[in-house]
Amino acid sequence: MTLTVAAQVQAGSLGLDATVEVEPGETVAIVGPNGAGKTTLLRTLAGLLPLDSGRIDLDGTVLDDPAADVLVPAERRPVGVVFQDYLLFPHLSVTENVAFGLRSRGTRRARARRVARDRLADLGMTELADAPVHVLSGGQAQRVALARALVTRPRLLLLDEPFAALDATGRASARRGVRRDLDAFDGIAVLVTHDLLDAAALADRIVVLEAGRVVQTGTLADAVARPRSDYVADLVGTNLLRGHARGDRVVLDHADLPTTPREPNELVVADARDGPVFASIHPHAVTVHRNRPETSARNVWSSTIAGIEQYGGRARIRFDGPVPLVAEITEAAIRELGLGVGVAIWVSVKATEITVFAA
Amino acid sequence: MTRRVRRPPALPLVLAGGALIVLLLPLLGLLTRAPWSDLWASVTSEDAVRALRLSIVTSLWATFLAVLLGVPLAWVLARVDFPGRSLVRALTLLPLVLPPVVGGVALLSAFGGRGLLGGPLDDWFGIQLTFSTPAVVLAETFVAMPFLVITVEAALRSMDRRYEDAAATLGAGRATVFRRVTMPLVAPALAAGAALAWARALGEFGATITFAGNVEGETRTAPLAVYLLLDHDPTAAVALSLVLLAVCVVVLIALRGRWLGLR
Repeated sequence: MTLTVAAQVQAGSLGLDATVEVEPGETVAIVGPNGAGKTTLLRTLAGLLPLDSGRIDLDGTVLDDPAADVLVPAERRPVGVVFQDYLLFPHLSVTENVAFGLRSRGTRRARARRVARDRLADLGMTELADAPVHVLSGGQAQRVALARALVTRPRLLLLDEPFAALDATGRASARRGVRRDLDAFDGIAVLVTHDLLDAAALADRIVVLEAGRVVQTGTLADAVARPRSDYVADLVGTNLLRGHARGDRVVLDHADLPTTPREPNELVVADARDGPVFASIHPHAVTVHRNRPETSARNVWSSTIAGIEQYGGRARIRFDGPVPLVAEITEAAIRELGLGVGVAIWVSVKATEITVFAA
Repeated sequence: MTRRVRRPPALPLVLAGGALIVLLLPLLGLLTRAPWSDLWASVTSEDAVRALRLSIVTSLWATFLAVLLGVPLAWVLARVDFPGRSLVRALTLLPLVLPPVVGGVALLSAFGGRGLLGGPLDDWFGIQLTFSTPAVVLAETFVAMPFLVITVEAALRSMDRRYEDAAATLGAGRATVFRRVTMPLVAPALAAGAALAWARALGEFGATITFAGNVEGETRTAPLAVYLLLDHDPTAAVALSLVLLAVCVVVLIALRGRWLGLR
């Protein structure tokens, strides 16, 4: 099951011209600033906005191709959508919302309701089944919206800023819930977000959209190490490490590391926490030294440079070791320190420069 | 800073009092002149019952027609972009401001015996609308439908259309979206518009008497009967007026409940 998209469409002042390919079972996060065309791209996939030119092909079925005069309308696409602010129907109960897709596709009322109730029971929301949707909390509404989109077993799931309406504490648990659903979902998922954490937690790959154009695709680690533009560097160019917090220590997950560390792969952070977390370290905050520094920084490691990428007047240095990181320094600093691939260095990060989020 | 409670100025208060006198004194007069003792006898007299029944039947038919034809018109005005849409909308709402008697003359020239459509109808099918109960329904629909159209169209324009998008992505075709999402979301406005249209149809006088005439049992609705009774039986006229007033008060209370969210 593959999704191939070449989308050209003029929507207001935005000209979208984007090519995206998604592999079977993959989850892709579309990231970018407001007005970059993320939601427009999603609407073309959902069938709510016809292409001016280009082609959308899902698993060998052409959904939109103006040149061939093919346009499958939204209601006949095997697509589920979770909208920004969810758009649960205010005049229907929770169960009727979840059953809506089945009813529209011809399932009998009694059976549709039974399936919807089973799904709500799986979510632990049986007691809310007959409630009107306005009594739901943000997190509950998000789960109902996802259940409503998945109940018809779509092959393509579209999520438009699924966590934007939630507060910070709600987001972490909502992300875990979506993660579970996506793990169980065997189709293709496309997630629109402007939050790097959403992309890191849910997506296999990111597509960066800027002013209607794709400026970068690849894994998040790629984008951090090799940002294609200043914009990408600023938006997604931060080191995100997954780990487990115990007080002011964060032990990094081995799965994220290139090799099993021989040295302790611990970060010292300023904010004490417990449980699974993301640690975010901006490349600006990583200092590179030729010799072991005497410093107030709580995190100091020795490492080896694995790659150097230059853009503008800046350079990003990627290094492995117990804590794989990217540092951003100037080209002048590279020359003065005589840095190059394979050079042994010391790295330091102040504990106060590390931001910790619940994962 | 010293604390000073501002009093409302005197002039608006005086003028507002004048407004209330103009609006409420007639109602008070109606109530004081009401023949409370033989009210029931007046209201249940054969003529009164017949006029009331005709009014209720024709106004309900007019409301039904206004909904049947007015909702699609509201939808077209709100959703279909065509040249001259603003002009069509303005013309649709004309009966709101047109003197009803002018509306009656206009109806005559369209549906009367020698009217634009009335002539052919008579020549080819032998159908004569004037001075018949259907003419009453037509006159009432003419004056009442704009209330429904204006209310429903405003609701269709202001509703969040993304709900319709959401329904489409869930597999609902256009008709299903309209029936299961659009209509329920504008239902409060539809109810308010239908109630306004019904009240307007129930009170219709000018267009009815001009276009449909004043035929006992056929076209003599309650307002026409009130006007007629005023000449020879003012007490009965007041009694019948009170019934119409009571109906309007009930409609107003129901509408206020909706508008103020007091349901």
